Amino acid sequence: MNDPERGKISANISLFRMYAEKKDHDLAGVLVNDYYGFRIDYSSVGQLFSYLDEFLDYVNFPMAATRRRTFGESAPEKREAMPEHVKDVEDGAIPDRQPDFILHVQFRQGATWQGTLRRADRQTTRRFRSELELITLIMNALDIERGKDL
Amino acid sequence: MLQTEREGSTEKKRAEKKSESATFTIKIQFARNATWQGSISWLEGQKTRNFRSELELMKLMAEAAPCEEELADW
Repeated sequence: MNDPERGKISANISLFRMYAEKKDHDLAGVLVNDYYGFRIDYSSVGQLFSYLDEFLDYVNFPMAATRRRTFGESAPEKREAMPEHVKDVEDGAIPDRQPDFILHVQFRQGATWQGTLRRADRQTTRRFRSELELITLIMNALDIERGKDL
Repeated sequence: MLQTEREGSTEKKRAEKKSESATFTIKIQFARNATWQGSISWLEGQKTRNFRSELELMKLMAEAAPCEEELADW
């Protein structure tokens, strides 16, 4: 894994191959960044957003336009070390198939994410303006019965 | 009086202690920028915060009731 702290940070740091499958009415899978050689495994939608947001806070790219609010009285501390959920790409199996999506988080404005989601099998791309819109796109793409599709 | 103060302090700490369960009142006031804005009240912690997105809402809830789960395994 290439340590983002030592090298230059490019926009590729927030570009991921995304593997996802519906599991127990939730989402599970792995995000793979080929440019920097790391992976983020997740077993729920909450973990997906939490783990990825922690990593983006650590590398500070895309830079968040707002500071996260908390129930505590003090502001959240800046993470000094790589989040534990970010691992080397070889530290686990990767599905032997093309990724379900290509996720690119381009901006973090309004306490949420903006970017593009590309559906690998159909070669179609959609822009999302929030993580709510992102998860809606993902779930609709994975849920054929709903009809509404990318 | 000193013992009452200690009991009150202990009760407050117990209420703020993170546990697996938590009770929230969520008021969604706006739906702008393809996400939600509103306020969330944490009953046990007796605190209210405004949120600007679903992501921020989820992080506030996770802060009050964190859960540890095993990572997914392919």
